[in-house]
Amino acid sequence: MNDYETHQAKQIDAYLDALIRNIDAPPPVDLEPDTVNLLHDLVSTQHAPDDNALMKRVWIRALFDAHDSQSVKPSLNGSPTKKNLQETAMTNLTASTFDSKRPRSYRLPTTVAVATLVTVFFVTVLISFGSLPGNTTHSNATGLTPLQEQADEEIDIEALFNRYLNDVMQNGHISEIDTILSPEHSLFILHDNRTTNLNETLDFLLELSELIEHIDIIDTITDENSIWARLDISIEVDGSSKSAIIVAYVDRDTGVFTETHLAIASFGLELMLLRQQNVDSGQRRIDAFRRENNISIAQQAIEIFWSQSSSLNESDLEMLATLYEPDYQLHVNDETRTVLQAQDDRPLTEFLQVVRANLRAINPQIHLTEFIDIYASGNYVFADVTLQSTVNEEARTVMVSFVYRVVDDVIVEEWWSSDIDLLQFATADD
Amino acid sequence: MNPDVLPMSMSQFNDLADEERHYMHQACKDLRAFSPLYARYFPLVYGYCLRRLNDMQEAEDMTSLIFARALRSVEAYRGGSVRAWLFTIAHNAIINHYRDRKPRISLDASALEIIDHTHSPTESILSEERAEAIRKIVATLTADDQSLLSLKIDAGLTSEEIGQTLGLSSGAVRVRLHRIIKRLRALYLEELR
Repeated sequence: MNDYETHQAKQIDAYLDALIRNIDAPPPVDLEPDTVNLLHDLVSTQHAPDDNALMKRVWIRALFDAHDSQSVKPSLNGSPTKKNLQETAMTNLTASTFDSKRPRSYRLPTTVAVATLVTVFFVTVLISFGSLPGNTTHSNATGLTPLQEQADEEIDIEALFNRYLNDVMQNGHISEIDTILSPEHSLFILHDNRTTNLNETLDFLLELSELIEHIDIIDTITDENSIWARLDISIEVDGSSKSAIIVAYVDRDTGVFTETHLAIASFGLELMLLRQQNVDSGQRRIDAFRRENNISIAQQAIEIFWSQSSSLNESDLEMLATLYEPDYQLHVNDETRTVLQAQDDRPLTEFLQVVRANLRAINPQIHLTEFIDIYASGNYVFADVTLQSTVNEEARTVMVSFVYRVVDDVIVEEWWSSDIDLLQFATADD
Repeated sequence: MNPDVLPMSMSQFNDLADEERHYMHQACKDLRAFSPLYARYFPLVYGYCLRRLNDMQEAEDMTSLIFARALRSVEAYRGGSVRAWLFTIAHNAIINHYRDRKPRISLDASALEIIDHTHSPTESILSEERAEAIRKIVATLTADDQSLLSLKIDAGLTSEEIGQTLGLSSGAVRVRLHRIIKRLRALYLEELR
């Protein structure tokens, strides 16, 4: 570098420092105008955030992560196990990443999948209408496979879940939460389906705990590494009971929750969360509109597909096809094990018709009788309906839960469950 | 930018350095004592991460990771500029991130619909055309040059502090910065033409 360039380098350095202090700082007189413009524009694109919520979130998470490596280790029985700080100073929670323990989806050829659907649904209907009394409240003690029972000897997921609900959600006791939630825990809440992080979880649970009077678990299902539960939550705000669905994934190795999906049909809570996430009123209106729109789409799909008529006519199928995305997926009784997917070689309308025809073949009388509840959270719509059937000339009813994922006004995924086997899935081998 | 951490006079620097060393000392006993330093440096670290990663969620995650590492390392701090120490952690974390980076698939594109905070308020005073041009030309730089530029502009480090972070002399930092600016100036003029 010659003297001129050395001088320019110092001038650039000094002017950048000045611009960072004051974007309108006057440039040195001997700095070239083009360089001045560039430096000014460079500093103008500086990414300094002005977001207290973000700052708070990151701080809590960093503190938690730093502390996490030094203090506690989760126990496998749902009880916190404090260890000597020095002893555990180098112990990180080796919780799995979001993807590694996430349930896998097996995509099957459509014909095999439909056959599986028929089998699974037949078994479900048989149990629903024939063997068990209607309205049975299902507990975790029934319906477990030997594998699940064996796994439960190693870790008491139910106890963990009770701690999660009672200690954390109901009582707001979060001091031991690092024994329950993995550092990478992801919470999917209500309105926008976006992955949130642990400190948002803490914020949310704390706020929630202040409103909850009590939680009643209606029923739960556990499998190898997940828990599904439906809850009745009494909210203090208006004294009314709100229903909720929680799906929590538990890391079997560490005994911590890696992921939770939580949907609560409570407008007050939704507003609270929207406020918390700094969503402005315009965005709230957009979200509310989107929820209403998604509910309408899901409701139409249920009404048409489960209508009382014995077969779907052409116009019904055309209407259905407008509600679904061409490569839509249907999960029946197990998002991990049975996935039906409309594919190129089988048009969506035909796919829906085959599914419907198989249902009718199993039980010609099955049809929708009423909507018990339907609500939306972000891209998801949750619906509980009552289906009616006739077994040995005796009318039976069964409640079925549906979950729809609606993106850009079309259904892209759908889950079916019943209160007998709440999203208890069967493998292709079944 | 936080006025507490702007480039400053030597006496101001010394006062600040004493204060920061005090916080670091306290943080060895109680991590929460680090919070004034966090408040001071969060905007800079986040801005640095956002510039380097160009993704809000990744920038948030990375900022959290950097401060978590810093909190774990307070006992290992051996004096000197806290800002340079912190950005050494940040710089290494970003390098590791790129080294380990695997293709990512967005879980839900709608998550991006909510609010776009990617562009700072100050950026809005630039025309969209110029802001885009800046982003475009900066992206042409090597990772090392982007890092140096971001340490200067987003982190507000002095050339001496950048030198500490990158293992260079302050003179070498100024020379590199000058070359980067020269290169960008040519590209910028071409972009705006």
